[in-house]
Amino acid sequence: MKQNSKYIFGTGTKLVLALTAFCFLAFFSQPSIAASKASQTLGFVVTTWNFALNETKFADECPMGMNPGYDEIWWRGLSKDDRAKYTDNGLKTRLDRYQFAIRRGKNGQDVAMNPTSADAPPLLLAQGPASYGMNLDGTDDGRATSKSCKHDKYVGLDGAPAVDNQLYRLLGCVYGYQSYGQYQVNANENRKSNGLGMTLIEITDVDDLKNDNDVTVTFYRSIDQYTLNGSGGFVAYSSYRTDTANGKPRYNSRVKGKILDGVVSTESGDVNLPFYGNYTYMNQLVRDMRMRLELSEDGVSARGMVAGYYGVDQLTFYACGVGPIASSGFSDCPAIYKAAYEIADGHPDPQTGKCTTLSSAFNFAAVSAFIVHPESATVAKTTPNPVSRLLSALGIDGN
Amino acid sequence: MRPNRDAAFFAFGILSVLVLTAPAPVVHAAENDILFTSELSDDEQSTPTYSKGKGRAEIVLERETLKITWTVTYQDLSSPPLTVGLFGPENVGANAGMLIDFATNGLNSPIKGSAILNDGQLQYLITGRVYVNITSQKWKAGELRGQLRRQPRP
Repeated sequence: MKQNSKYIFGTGTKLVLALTAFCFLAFFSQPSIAASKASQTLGFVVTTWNFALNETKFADECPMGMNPGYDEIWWRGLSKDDRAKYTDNGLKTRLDRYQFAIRRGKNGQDVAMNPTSADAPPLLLAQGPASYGMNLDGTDDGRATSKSCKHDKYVGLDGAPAVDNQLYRLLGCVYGYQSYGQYQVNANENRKSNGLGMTLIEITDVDDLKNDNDVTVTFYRSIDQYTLNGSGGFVAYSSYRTDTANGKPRYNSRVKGKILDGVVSTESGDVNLPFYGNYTYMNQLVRDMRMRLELSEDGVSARGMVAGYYGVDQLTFYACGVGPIASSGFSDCPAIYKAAYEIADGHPDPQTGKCTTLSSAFNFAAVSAFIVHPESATVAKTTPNPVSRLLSALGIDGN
Repeated sequence: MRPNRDAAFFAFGILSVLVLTAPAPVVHAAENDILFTSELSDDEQSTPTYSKGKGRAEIVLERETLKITWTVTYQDLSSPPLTVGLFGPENVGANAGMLIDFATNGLNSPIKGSAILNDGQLQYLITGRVYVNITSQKWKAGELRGQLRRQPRP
């Protein structure tokens, strides 16, 4: 029988068959092709990620202005002579005098590392009725429950009632966290230029791009940097490999979701997200997280919001760890740390009853991408692919 | 006829009481304005400065036009003033250039005037990164200075 095949097919016929088979298999064997109905998978790479703060043109959410930062608090506490000495009569930049400003603890401690070592000025909280976010505690009035502490509710900027976002209340009047502030701008630029902490979003089990009651959303970290065009713009449909360790993805939090009129929304779940910004690496655990993702008509890009509970200690790690960047972000760790625990509204500590997380929301943008899973590549290396097998069967495998 | 006259007097009386006790009419534009103030002294100068002078700056921002109207008063300067203006963007402990000259109509207190902000100057103002500075012949970098702070509506 093996010899018969050589008589049935001439060399030319073999080549035509081989090429046809190759095209057929190449077309149908693509892994994770974004926005492709055939693959039933959508892939995105997150391009910008920001604390979702409701910023009005005249900053009416901050009726008493923005909060003072380390430098101002420290400088106001000095005598005239010391001001002249430590700032060279105002000629030494805030960055250069940061090392002095930060050590205003009662015994000279670094207040970013020891936020309770200095008296914290009261933080000016964001005011007003409206915010980004979602109803996370399930109440309509923010009353205390077994899973939350009493807090005020917002009206969502999309009109949704009973929205929770204590993180906005906390950071809404801190200059560095505004969309034009140093922390936000620098964090996005960091990721864009060095490719660290990049989030990939994969939506699988998609039967219909517009309406689908059952999809799965998985979050990964990329080990490839952004593909940028000559103008610095994000190139869609680039390939990004997921980060793995010992053959398993480091990040792969998964939640169920649905698509309604082209908008993906997920159920609630604890999600780990990679993060890098302002020279700080971090694993972001967003508890009881939900995501809303709106796809563009052409499927090239998407805009989304993530809402969930953000740990106060996790926030402090980042907010207090930004280092000298705070000299142009105008923030004060002791004030943020103290206020964060005062207004925390989620996950009460079973021992103390004090809440340990803040309801929060983040806005992000994304572009379509091919998400490449290294384990697929490993399989391909060890197992002959279908084309090789076919060519082998046809006797033109070159052996 | 008499009952009608009484009724008319009664109505007039009621109307008078209502008019006299009604709250003063509120100017809509003013209600929407934003007030920034600053107490001016030698304390906020970056270079140690010693002056008995005091002053106050009030700036009203009109949202629709981005027009600011200022009133700056001062007294007891150590020497005649040279310039009075809005400086920024900068916080305390460092210096910046003059954004708006407040004294184009003269340096006598009170100094009043107005100008239209561009978007950049607006952002400096609402984020608290501008200050009022009065320079004098003795203190040429500045004798009285104060960071402008937004005032909450009463």
